[in-house]
Amino acid sequence: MADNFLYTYCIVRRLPGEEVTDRYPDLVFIEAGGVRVVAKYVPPDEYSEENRKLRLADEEWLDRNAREHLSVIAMVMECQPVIPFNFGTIFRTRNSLADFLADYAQRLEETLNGLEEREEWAVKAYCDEALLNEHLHLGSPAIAAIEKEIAEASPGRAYLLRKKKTELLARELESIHATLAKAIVDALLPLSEQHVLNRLIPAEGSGEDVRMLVNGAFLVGSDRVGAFLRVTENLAGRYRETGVTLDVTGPWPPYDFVDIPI
Amino acid sequence: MQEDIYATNRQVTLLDILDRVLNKGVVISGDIIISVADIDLVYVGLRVLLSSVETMERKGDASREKSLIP
Repeated sequence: MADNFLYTYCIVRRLPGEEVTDRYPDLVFIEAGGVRVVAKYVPPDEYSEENRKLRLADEEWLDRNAREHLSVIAMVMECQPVIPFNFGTIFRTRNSLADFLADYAQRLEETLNGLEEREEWAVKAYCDEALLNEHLHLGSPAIAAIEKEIAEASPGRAYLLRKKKTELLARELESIHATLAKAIVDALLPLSEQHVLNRLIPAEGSGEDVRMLVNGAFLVGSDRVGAFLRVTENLAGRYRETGVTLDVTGPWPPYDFVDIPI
Repeated sequence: MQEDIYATNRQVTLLDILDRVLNKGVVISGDIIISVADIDLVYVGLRVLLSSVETMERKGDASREKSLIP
């Protein structure tokens, strides 16, 4: 074992129960600085520089291991708060891990306290651009006015007006996106303790006219999760006809609410 | 399969998972520790492609979409 590396999953206060160790018998628990790390020993060559690159390109390996990383953490966090490690974080020795825990003991304790009885939920909102465009054409007085002008204009002037209309549409779409995104986030804020708005993932190349409006992570008190989910359902219902869909997932390990720069 | 995480009317995808477990949480750098965090997520039509930084550089910056975290 001495030469093996330690692959780490998460930091906790208490030893996980038998339901975790029965399912994942390879887990070990490294204690230092008042906390414990859920980890497993891995042969060094499995994560050598060279092998890591090969493995990451192997979707089957990646899928299996990323899911296992998540499953272990998710199971542990059913009973206590966790500080999740990034997928693929490996310590060379038990001592290096213990040093890390000791150095950051206070920070880790504070973070664990802040995560007590709280869950991370992810909310992504998308809009169907074609449908939204259609609504714009039907609903915007400015667009209606310019279309009327185009119909009555000479070919040269109509060309310029059409360009103007395209710009106007783009501006109105942007403003609608921003308004929708704000409305969705604002509706969720009263039910969450903290939130993070992550970068929007571009839909380029998907072949579908779908655009991401919100990529949010919300830290929700465990006793308010039901209410939080009901709000997402209400939002989905309210905006369905506008072409907006909500994608809600959780509870995730609190990846977005752990800030330990090392 | 991923039975621990709830997703509205669908399975939790690899993208969902990588979206969380990479480049977030405790991110450690330093020579005593190894991490696979030095990789980028590339989103193509909401599907994920994953490459090492090296592979990405070969493909060129034009097609590059950085990971979710700047």
